[in-house]
Amino acid sequence: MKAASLTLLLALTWTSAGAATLTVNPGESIQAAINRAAPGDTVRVLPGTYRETVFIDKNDIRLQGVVHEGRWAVMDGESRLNDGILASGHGVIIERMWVRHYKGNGIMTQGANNYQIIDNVVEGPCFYAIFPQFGRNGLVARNFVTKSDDAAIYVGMSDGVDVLYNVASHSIIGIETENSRGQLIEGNYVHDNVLGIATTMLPGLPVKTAETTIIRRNFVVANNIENFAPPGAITAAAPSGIGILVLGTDTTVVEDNYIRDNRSAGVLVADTSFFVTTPDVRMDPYPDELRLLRNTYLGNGADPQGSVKAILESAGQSTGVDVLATGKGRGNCIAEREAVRSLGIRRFEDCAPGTTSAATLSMRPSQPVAAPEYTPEQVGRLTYLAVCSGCHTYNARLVGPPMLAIKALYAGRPAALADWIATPTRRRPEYPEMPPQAYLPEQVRLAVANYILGELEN
Amino acid sequence: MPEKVSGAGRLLVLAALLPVFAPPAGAQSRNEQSAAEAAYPCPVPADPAAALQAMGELYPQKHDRNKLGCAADLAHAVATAVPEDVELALQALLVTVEYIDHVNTLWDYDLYGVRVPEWTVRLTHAIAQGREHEARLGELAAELPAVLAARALFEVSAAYRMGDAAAQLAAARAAIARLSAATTAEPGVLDGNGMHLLGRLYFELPEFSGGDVERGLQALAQAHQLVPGNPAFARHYAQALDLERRPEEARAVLATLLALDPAPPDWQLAADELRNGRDLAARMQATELQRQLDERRAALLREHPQLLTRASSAANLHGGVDPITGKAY
Repeated sequence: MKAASLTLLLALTWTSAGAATLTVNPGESIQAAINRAAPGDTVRVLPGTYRETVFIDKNDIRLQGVVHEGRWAVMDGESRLNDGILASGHGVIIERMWVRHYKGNGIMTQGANNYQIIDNVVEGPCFYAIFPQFGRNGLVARNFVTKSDDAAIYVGMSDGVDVLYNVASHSIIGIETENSRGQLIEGNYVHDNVLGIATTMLPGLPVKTAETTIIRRNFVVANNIENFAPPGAITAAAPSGIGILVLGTDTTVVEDNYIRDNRSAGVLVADTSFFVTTPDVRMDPYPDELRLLRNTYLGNGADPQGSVKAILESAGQSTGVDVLATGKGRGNCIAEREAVRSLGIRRFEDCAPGTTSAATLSMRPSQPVAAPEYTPEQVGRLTYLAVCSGCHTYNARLVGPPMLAIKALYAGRPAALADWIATPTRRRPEYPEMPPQAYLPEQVRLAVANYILGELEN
Repeated sequence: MPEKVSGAGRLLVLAALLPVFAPPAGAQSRNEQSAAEAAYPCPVPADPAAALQAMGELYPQKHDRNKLGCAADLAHAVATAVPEDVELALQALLVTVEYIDHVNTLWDYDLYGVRVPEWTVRLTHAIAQGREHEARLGELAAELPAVLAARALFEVSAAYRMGDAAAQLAAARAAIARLSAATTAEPGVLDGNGMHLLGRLYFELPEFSGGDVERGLQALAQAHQLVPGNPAFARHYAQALDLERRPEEARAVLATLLALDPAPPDWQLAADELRNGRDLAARMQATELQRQLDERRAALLREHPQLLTRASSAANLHGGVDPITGKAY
């Protein structure tokens, strides 16, 4: 079938119960279709190349790329645009899109519940390929993600998320859950990253706990590339060659994984302070109640790197191990202790025979969770977090100027700031020009402008 | 800072040693401009007495990195002019350690490394000065408990940000040996700071790298008993107790922060530890204690608005509030 006839067919397709399907042809704007769509609608994107940022703030939108005879709907940021797809609407489904070369996020959900990010290809260089944040009940499945300057799949401050059957490679971290509760990371193939899979608790964030993660039946192989994180980034401290990292998180299960040829260690269990020294006394830095069950370890620790090498040498060892525990967590256990080359597990008990996570098939709730309508204040904060915070800090230069200067410039003029955000012009020769954020609806730009000029403080 | 300073009459080269400290050219990072902010003016005293007076005025203002840095520079100049004087070298090393710790803490709260060039320039400068005194003290009085402890403090502080993992571990293990010797000879050496650091190192290092949780707890307890009014000692001990699942004891120790009555040099320390104590109380779900500590801190900050509040740049970068609830964190 040729593309033209496919277009005609799709344009005439309507789903039941009044939900419509809108079709986007090459040369047209995906955002324009999103703007026309109503909750429950599907936006189908035909094969072709689209150079834009898409923002979805409506509920129950399905953004679906059409793959036809091997040709995909490609969104190309040309290493010029910051973000590919940003979604804050609940119940969004993003599927079969090929998203490449966005500088910030490939696909991000922010404050969205009941989302699905499935069957996409996300290629860097980017910061995060797939980044759901502040969401409940999420599914991230069967995506191919590569070349992220941080985590390729990064579940941040979320609850009830399944990360299943993805392939993650050539990034600092293949898959990471951060300050989140209730994750199932299963069946993924994670290879050729600096660090394969990480469940972490980091300081300085509003969520102060991280717990209940199952890391199961993954293939965690040869995560040995050199660390290319910029100096000063938290991830710059990650030694190359870690298969699975449990950093300060509680009630983690590591079971039935195939962990092979990670040159520093198969599994590293560490206190938060092993990587991050910023004090955040509200957090318990120790990884507690870890269940390190039966896994297959092969060839790990052959050539330890960085801090792992140093810590092994301090113990008189020159080669790495399958399991390295530097932390002082309580209530941890390990199965088949004698089969595992380990260091630092004196405080671990033996797991009770038969201990398994097999009964847990999903961490997602059985029913969709509530889909709250956000207030303008919440929209402003969430949008700031998703769109602005990557380049601006309050009182210091980052990529862009400090917000303090912007507050002074636009004091009492939120509408003017909202307009400028849509179509920025270069005002300071010492800073790069800000990419236009016209994809944000006017009320969203106004909400974030009000937040910046009002509530945002140091 | 030790109160008694000797040999001040021989500061012939003082002025030559006190240029305006400026960063080297070419410091690069995410915020290249921040390197320029490592520069600070420092007075050039006319005579040794003026140098000591200037240092005495600057040193207590520990919330101000420039003033503390300048105090360290003055102490360095004074000690360098009289190289055989152990007390001056010890004083210079300890003031330098305080300055290094101050910058380390600023870097801690700069979670995303926005101002790394500034911190790097400052630390490089301070560590170079400190290393001179550390080496000299090693030659002059290596076995003196205060010298053993001061050298341990310096090596740990110097490696904290500017050393790699191997350097940090090496410094920590060497420090344990020195601090063990120093505190055996003089348990309260350096106002309990030797015992306190020994406790932290034992507690925080992995067991296979020389760590020992029980010995750590013992040393932290001893430091707290030696100087119950030191808020850092109390908070670290309480935190260790809590992490070892001894919450009732932790709560009792933490409550001692409410009795703080800090003198001017310790205002910043008190504000920092009241914040940490408040957060620890929150984690322990000791709501009333959390409220009381927060009130004490708020009162201290109201009374001394120049003190640093330690807003983290992570919070800064993320807007500083939970986007859903709007609450600051």
